[in-house]
Amino acid sequence: MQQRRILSEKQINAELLNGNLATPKWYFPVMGVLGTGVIIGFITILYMFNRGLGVTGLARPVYWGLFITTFVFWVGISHAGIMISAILRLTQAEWRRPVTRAAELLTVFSLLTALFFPLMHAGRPWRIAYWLLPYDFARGIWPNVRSPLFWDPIAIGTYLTGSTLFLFVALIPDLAILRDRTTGIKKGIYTVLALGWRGNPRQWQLQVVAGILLSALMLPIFVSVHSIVSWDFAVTPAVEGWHSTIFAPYFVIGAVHSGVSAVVTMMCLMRWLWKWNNYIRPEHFDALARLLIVVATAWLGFTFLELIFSLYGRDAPEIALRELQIFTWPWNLIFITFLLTGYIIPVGCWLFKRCRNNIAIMFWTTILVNVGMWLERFLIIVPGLARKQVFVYTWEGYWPSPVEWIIMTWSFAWVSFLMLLFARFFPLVPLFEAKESQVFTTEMKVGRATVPMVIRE
Amino acid sequence: MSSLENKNNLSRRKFLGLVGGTALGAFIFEACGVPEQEFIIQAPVDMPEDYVKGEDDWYATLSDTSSHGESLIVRIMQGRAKKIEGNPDFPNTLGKHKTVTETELQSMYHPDRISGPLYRKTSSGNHRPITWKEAKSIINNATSSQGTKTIITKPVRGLNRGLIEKYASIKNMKHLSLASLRDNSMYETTKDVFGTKDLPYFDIKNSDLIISFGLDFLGTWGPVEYEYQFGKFRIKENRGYLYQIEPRMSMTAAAADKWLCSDPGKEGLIALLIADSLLKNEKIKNEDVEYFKKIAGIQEINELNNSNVSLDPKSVGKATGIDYHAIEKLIEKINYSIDKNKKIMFLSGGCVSGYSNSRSINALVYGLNYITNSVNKEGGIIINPENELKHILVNGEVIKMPSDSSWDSYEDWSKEIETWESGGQDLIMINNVDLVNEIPGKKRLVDAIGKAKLSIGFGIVVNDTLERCDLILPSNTSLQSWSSDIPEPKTGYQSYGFGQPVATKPLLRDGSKVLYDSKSFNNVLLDDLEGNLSGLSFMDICMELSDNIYESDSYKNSSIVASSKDDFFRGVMARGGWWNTNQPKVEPKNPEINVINSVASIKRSKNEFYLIPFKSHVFGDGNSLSNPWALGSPDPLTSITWDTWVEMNNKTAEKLDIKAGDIVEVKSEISSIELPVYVHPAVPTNTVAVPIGLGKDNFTRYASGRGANVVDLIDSSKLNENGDIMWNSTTVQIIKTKENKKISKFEGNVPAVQVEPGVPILTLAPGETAEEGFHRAHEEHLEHTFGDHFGDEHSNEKGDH
Amino acid sequence: MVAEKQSKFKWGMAVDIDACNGCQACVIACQSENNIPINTEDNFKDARGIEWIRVERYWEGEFPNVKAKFIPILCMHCDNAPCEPVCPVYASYHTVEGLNVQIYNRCVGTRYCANGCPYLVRFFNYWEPEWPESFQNHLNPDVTVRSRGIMEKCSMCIQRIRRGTRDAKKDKREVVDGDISPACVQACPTDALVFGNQKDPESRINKMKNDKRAYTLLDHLKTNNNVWYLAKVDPDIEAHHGDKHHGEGNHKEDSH
Ligand SMILES: Nc1nc2c(c(=O)[nH]1)N[C@H]1C(S)=C(S)[C@@H](COP(=O)(O)OP(=O)(O)OC[C@H]3O[C@@H](n4cnc5c(=O)[nH]c(N)nc54)[C@H](O)[C@@H]3O)O[C@H]1N2
Ligand SMILES: Nc1nc2c(c(=O)[nH]1)N[C@H]1C(S)=C(S)[C@@H](COP(=O)(O)OP(=O)(O)OC[C@H]3O[C@@H](n4cnc5c(=O)[nH]c(N)nc54)[C@H](O)[C@@H]3O)O[C@H]1N2
Ligand code: SF4
Ligand code: SF4
Ligand code: SF4
Ligand code: SF4
Ligand SMILES: [Mo]
Repeated sequence: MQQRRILSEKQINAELLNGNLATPKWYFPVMGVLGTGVIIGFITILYMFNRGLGVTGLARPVYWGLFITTFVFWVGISHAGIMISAILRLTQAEWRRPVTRAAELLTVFSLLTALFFPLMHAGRPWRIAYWLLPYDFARGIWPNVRSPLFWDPIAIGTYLTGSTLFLFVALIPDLAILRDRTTGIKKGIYTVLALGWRGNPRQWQLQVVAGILLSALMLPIFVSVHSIVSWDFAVTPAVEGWHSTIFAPYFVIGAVHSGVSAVVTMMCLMRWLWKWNNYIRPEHFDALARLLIVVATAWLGFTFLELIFSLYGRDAPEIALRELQIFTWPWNLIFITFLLTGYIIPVGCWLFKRCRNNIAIMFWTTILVNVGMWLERFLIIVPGLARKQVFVYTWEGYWPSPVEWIIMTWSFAWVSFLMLLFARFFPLVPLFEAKESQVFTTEMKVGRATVPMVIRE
Repeated sequence: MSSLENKNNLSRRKFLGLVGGTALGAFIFEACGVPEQEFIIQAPVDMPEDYVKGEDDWYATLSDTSSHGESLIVRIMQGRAKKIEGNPDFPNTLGKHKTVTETELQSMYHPDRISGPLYRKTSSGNHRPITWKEAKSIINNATSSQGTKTIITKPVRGLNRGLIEKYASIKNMKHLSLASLRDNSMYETTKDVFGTKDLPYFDIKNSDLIISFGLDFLGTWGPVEYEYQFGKFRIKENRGYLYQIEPRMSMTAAAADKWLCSDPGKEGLIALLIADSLLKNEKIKNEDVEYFKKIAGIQEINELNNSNVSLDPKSVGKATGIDYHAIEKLIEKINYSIDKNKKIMFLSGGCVSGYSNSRSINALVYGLNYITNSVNKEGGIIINPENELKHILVNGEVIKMPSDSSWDSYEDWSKEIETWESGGQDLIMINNVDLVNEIPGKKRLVDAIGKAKLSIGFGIVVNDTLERCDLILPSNTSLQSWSSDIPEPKTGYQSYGFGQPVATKPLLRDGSKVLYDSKSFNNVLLDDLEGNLSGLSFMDICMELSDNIYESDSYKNSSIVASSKDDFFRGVMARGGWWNTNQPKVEPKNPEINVINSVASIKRSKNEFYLIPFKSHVFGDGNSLSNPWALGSPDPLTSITWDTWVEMNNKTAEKLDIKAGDIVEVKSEISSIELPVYVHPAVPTNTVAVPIGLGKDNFTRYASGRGANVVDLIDSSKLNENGDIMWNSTTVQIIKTKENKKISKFEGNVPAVQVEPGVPILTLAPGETAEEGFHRAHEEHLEHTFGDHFGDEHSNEKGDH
Repeated sequence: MVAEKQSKFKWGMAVDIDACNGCQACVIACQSENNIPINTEDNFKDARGIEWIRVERYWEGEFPNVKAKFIPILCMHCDNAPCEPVCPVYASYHTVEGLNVQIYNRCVGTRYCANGCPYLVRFFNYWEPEWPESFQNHLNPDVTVRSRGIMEKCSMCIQRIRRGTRDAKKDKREVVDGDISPACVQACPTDALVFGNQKDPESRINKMKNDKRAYTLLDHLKTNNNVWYLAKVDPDIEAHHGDKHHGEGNHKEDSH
């Protein structure tokens, strides 16, 4: 284990603001590449709006494809924030501190991005107000509250509002620091955003209480968001592979798996890009990897339960679907890749401490997890549609079009772009949390292991 | 015509037009006549407000798609045709229509309709627009001068044919008719077997057992009424049983209870075997057996066998390629039906008409009906009475009304084409026939047409044949023309169909410009005549027929009762025709046939396949394929659209390492074409099948350059007993190419075999309920898939097997 | 619910697959009646052809004992329609006369209803349908021409139902069985399709749905269909019930 050093507040300020007060060399080239991707993406989206959904590879009976897969994927990723900032905060896992903001930020941006997808995938996105807002009072037309598509925006909207507030509340003290260290227009903006933060005890107290309250409020969201997304599928009796009662917990645990993995990926990047080795330390990775082993195993259990439940009925179309999903080329390749990347390789690595402490390995294994999780969503959504019910005559395949691939890739560039943009103007690691952790944390030897200890807040 | 007559005419029209809107319906007058008497219904763009009724009218007219003289009703709003339906009154339509009949709407409003007369002076020059006046004078010059002149049409009947024949005789022209994959043999043979002038009528509905040798009466042959009857045949209390015996699964074979797939040309052996077994059946005691013996040319039963195949199921099975158990079962079923006094009917035609010995097979099979006493009996073959009116007099000129659509044999055609090639042809006049694609040897035909001094083509859109004509004339569609037809086959009594223009010429929406300037073919002919018929329009001739019927003996007790000629005509137009169901039966005359040649030998070497060119149920002869509705409708068996294909058995394909969509070269002795493969479990392993209808270079924006034309592969130098091309006697080689294409079809990408018997299509044993059927099917499925013995009480029985 | 009970009509259809010969006349009739966009070659290649009623063909067995079986499939007008609750904007809607209809104006094109429909009878307009100007002449003025981005499906030819009921009202009489027929029913040459009012005890549809051959598709999903199928009959198969004596010739032939 790496030697811990006690850092001075000054050093913390300097190191953690190194991206905000100065521009790292890699910043503009990377932003240039991402920005190009974002622009290409937006052009493609406009092209699709202009021509119609004909430019996608969707067709009867596969009416939902890459867009919905990616939508579910980003909602899954968004669980990063809820897991790290709400669950870990309430359970007082001390090592969460340096990554709370990045996780929360990832939540906000992935939710924003996720919302793009159902919008884009609609045939007439310009009419979507119909769907979201009960505005047509004169004719008494209301949105259909029975539709999961109506619950989606409510659940996600709530989550997005909560996360944004959470992010902002935690940002206030750091905004004040930035306000004090900048000049000109920048200073003006930071001043407004800092809401007159002076750092007096009452303000600190309010800020901490707000944080804890928000965490508690977000707990139900932890359960609800991905449950509701899963109901988009689970309420549909027509589609084998969708109509499953275990979807809600299955989706939630899957989301935690991919969300936490995404946080780990991000932590690796933060260490490399801003050299925050002092704040994001191997023991953090170690702790997260242990958590992930548990989450991943639970999730795998659900995966197999779901398969077993469905086969138990011995329904001919159900069997045909599983045959496609697991044994038929090229789906069998996707299925194997999904198992390998979603569980076998990463968990296999994490069993070893040497791997858990190796940043590069953690980076690549968590990337693999999210490849696997994306494939999982694809494997749930598409084959069920391609083998819908007994109408073998209309069973079809699905091959996403370049437009869909570009837009999916765009979403990754877009989230990264937003994250980096944010990092340029605001500290990614909360300064006050870093300082607090200096105060509250110590280490203790338990047998041969050294574990981080928490002094109660 | 004098101006006085002209006026009379108008007033008569006005009168009719006024009363036309009453309960019976009405008719609209066509924008074509001599002199032009136009009564255009205005399109809504320039229609006065008080004229917009927002109501529809239905008018009856004749179908152009069906070659059986079917009557339609068309929904009209503001002068535009909106919907086509079968005429519910008319005997051979019964409110139904053939699959692609509705596409006539699209012919009417086709964006590629010829806009006006086009002419070129030399055969290499470019066509340029001319006026109808100029066109008429070109026609008149050509038809009035001496020389070799031919007029070519589809097979037509009734007044339509009468007029053409009259015109041809006045102008000293020859009339030839042509239809694709002609079933001449069947038409000719039935007439000979039953000794009548007209095709007999098949009482499918009331039959108990139908054994059809190749006759595709549920597909591309026969009036829609036969499909209607088939529905009744199936769902009546004593459900009928249909056998189909032919080398390719046609629509009828697909719908049949049992399809026996014989090697091409061998079907006659089965007919002989049936005859043999029937004649040995003690229950058969009827004088009509003599008729059969006459047809078969025998005195005693044992003379039946003139081939070296002995007449027992095993040998016949071996010779025809059919499992002999199935043949035994067939014989058993026939004898059982005889025992139980059930009604049996034997039909023949379709595929069977494409061999060297077609006439013999057809004759034998239809002859079987005499043995089973099925001629002129309910549930059997009904002899059609002849029409009372054989001709009418118009202004003193006799216009004949033939009730049969004879077409000219290929022998005649071949002589004709030779004349063209020799350069001795002065005028070719073609109405709506795509000659160059329908007769084998496209290049030769194109050259031959080019050698004629003048070629005139009538059509709605330009096709490969029309393109070669010097004078191209836009003709009206059936929805815009007067016509008169005699349904063929009649439905056991005499009937006439009348067609009237029901819609006006479409106008451009943003102005009153006419989209195209077409005329009806019949009127152009009349217009070109001097003498007694000059100045008449075809409407006048139709009216004359109506008046003649009104005055005829059989008018009494017929479908229309009227107090005056005008009233009667109005009734005829409203109901789409006239018929008299109270006609006495006629007995068959002595058969005028005496042949047996039961086996056609088609030589096929080991690596070759029998080639069956066929009309797809949707594509038909290809003439509707200018319309995207027809092109975009799935062929029922393969679900393919917009393309031609070659059907190949799945095992054959596997052996040749061919996958669906692979392009293969289909090579006959004459020529070769390239087509994508459709892997098809219902094609014999030694056979491939290709639909006709596409492979045209120029046929509107929709059909040009699509697919390949299988007609090119047929050897037209060998003719059958009827002097016709042997469509189903070609053998081909299949050569795999490296290319592959995605076939445009409705079916998904998984072989459509039900995941479990009973879902979605439940099949029951006779008398079984749906619930029992499901139970049985599910048990079978569980046992088959999981080896379960679920079905408690049945499991024991199963174990005993 | 009350309105449904009070309504004089509950429409339904029966399909006798023993009579159907797979001719596709119903498909074109529906296309013509309902302004269904031209299905281009690419539409079919992309599996985007629109057929409110389609004829599915299933193969059974191997040559020579191979059978082709046809089944026309249209919207089942489920009483308990899975396509309805999932639509966020109520575009998939149930009338008091028991029909599932599509309100094009409202539809935003999420295609959720199409996933919800077990029968695959909802079709999405991926492209703006192209109507050459001259073909616009034959468009049915009683039926909306759909634009891109929306779902469309069989309406049981509601325009014809409206016309039929209105005409009856105008003439001050009841609607009689056979007065109204959707385009596909009218065209079906074998009369395999029968349409009618289930609340009329004398209607043919009522007799057919109570026939012993009647079944509904995917009965286990309990979508409560208003389209009934009358099973195919194969005289050559044996029932499990009743006499167990083994058939004569055919069995030999099938068993090898
Ligand atoms: N060709 C053709 N003819 C049509 C129609 C069509 O579509 N095409 N549509 C028909 C229909 S639906 C209608 S409603 C009628 C309409 O026909 P009109 O009622 O004739 O309507 P406008 O032509 O709009 O002209 C009305 C006149 O009122 C004058 N005006 C405007 N405001 C006032 C005011 O406040 N007071 C007074 N006193 N005068 C005023 C205007 O200057 C104008 O001269 O046309 C019918 N005729
Ligand atoms: N700018 C402007 N706007 C106006 C007016 C104006 O003067 N100027 N006038 C106003 C007035 S007074 C009126 S009445 C309205 C009229 O406005 P609209 O009622 O919209 O009248 P139109 O545009 O004449 O016709 C409507 C459509 O109906 C179609 N149609 C024609 N016949 C039939 C039919 O039998 N059945 C069906 N289903 N469709 C059919 C036509 O092709 C056309 O597309 O416009 C109003 N708006
Ligand atoms: S596609 Fe249209 S009808 Fe279907 S669920 Fe979406 S909005 Fe509703
Ligand atoms: S069949 Fe499909 S579209 Fe029709 S009502 Fe049922 S679920 Fe809805
Ligand atoms: S009922 Fe009407 S809309 Fe429905 S399939 Fe038949 S023709 Fe089409
Ligand atoms: S029209 Fe009738 S017979 Fe033809 S496919 Fe449709 S349902 Fe079957
Ligand atoms: Mo108006």
